Amino acid sequence: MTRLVIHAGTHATDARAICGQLASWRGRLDTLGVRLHPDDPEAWADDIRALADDEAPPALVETAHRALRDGKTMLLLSSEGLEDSLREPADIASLGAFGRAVGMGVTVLCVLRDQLGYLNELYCDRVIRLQTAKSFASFAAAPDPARRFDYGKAFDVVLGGDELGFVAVPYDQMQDGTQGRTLLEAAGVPSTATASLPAGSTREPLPGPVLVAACRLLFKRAWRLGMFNRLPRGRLLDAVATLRRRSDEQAWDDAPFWGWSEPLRQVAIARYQPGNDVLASALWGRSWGESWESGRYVDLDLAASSSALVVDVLLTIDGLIKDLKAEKTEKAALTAENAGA
Amino acid sequence: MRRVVVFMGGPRDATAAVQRTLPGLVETLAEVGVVVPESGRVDSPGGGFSHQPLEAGPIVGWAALRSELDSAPGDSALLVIPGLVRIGSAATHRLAMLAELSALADDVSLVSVVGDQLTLLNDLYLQQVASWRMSKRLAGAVSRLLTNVLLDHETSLRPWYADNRARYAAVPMSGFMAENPVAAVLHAAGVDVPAGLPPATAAAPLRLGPIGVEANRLLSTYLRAEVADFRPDDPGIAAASRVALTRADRLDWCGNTFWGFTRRAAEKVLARYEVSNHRFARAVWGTDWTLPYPLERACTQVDFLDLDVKVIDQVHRFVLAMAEKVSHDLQVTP
Repeated sequence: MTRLVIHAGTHATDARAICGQLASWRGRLDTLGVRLHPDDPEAWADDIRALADDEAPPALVETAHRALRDGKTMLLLSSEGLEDSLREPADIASLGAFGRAVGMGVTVLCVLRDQLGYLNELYCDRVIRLQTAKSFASFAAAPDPARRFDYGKAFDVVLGGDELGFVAVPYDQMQDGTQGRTLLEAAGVPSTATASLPAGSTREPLPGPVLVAACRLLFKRAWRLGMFNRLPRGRLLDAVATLRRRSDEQAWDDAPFWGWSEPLRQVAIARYQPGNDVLASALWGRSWGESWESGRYVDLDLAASSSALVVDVLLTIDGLIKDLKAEKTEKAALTAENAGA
Repeated sequence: MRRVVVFMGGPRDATAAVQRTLPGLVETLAEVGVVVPESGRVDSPGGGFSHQPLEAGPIVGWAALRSELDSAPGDSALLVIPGLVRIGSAATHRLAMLAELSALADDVSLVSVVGDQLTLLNDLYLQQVASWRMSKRLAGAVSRLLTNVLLDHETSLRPWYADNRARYAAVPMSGFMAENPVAAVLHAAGVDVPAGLPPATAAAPLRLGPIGVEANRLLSTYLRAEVADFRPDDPGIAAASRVALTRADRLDWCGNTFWGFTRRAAEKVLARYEVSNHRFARAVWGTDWTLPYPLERACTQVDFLDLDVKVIDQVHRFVLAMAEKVSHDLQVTP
């Protein structure tokens, strides 16, 4: 019997590193009876999204049939983008329908991280992608989408139905470089089999507080000048890449960003602990516990930072803004010229 | 001369109000026998004048002042020497001042204005930020600002009110500005002045608002890297900081809107002064300290990165433009 196991994140739980590791173990996993999506990880998300949308890609259907024919114990798919589908009955039904269509029982596998680490990483990710310029406190006070973070209810749909099995792994049980092994073990692959899998991709380091601050400033200045509407997003992200390089060269930061001041942390724990306990009890028969992530909180006050740093940050961003402005002007001129022609 | 009244200073607004109001009242006061001497006058940067050079001690100007008062009509004289509040603990200087003042008249009355320490600290912080001496947030600056002995009225003023060579009167800051400030000083000293003098109309000194504070904090930090041997006391730097303040005002970043204390921080500061304020009030007014503390005022200190997109753009450009100007001016000015 071949099972379909879908690793659905959650977000900020090293999904990219996990996918990289799984792909690098493809041959070995096959000998262990675990079949992966046939393409590279970059292509996985769209196909798996299509499954949830009830539009199974032919290549995936074919892969499932082959896994069955080849007597594999598991077809393992992975996309953190599927996390939000776990709250959508229609998506759950589509995944179940696909399993039935190819003759496989479906199990969803999630990595669960406490909300402190989750929100901290999510915030960094959104700032670096120029999706937000809010302060961390403001972001964490009303995270979006809110339902992701209330673990007391977030998994009600998938846990309450009988379409899919659900297995969850605590994030703090995973070692960087071998997260994929822990995941496979949670999916039922014996640890004696996974032990031989070499360490692989590691998680991307978080940006530091100064780089986060610089990205927020870049976002706000670019927004003010209307660049989000008039330049390709990729061009703005190139500017972030320049900031990142500058940050590395000039050693702007000596620690990763951690936005939880102690008072904020206490408020968050009080908010999330009850729901986490409900989920942990349902999944693991115990309370969530007290092992919340921690980090070194830096109350970055750019104006009171070192003078050299302030000069470097302000001039670098001003230079980037001038470049972007020049491109915007050039683009507008070209558009006008084309319209005239 | 029977009596000399000395305004010895107080919070920034009170001093500025006395200095600015005085020029328009000299003739009115003369008509009721109160002389405002010419000797020792110096123009104040914020408008009006004071008799500030006398603060330097017994050497400068006293003989001329004695001579002027000897021949002046009138019963009383009013001197404005705001620096006096600062020299209470400098015994030699203080005693020399008292000796000179006693030689001017039979009766010497010293008058200062006192306010609550939270407002004083908030103002002190704003002055330091505007003069580029401070780039921390108020919360981070408080411990340094608290070393200012003037915040403790009992410690800084007791040497004056405990000395029976002069009478001392304290005017509470609350209500002071509603009255004509010069009349309030004279009233406190027991001098009759005509009723109906207009209240202070002179504009208060420019104060940075929350955005102005952020812009100047950032600018002063920036300048420390850009200007060799950056010293806020340097006349060129001081002049540049005044230009920056004017520009901040043009950008609408000034006004009496900055308040850097959270309620908790304010209570912590007050705990330090409550007892000495009561002792001061009992010694001077014969009652407990009843002046209000602005504990309910909401903190308005903002963070540069939390500013609105339009404002953050303005602040960033303001900092770079001012830094360029200051660097340029200092290079071309010997």
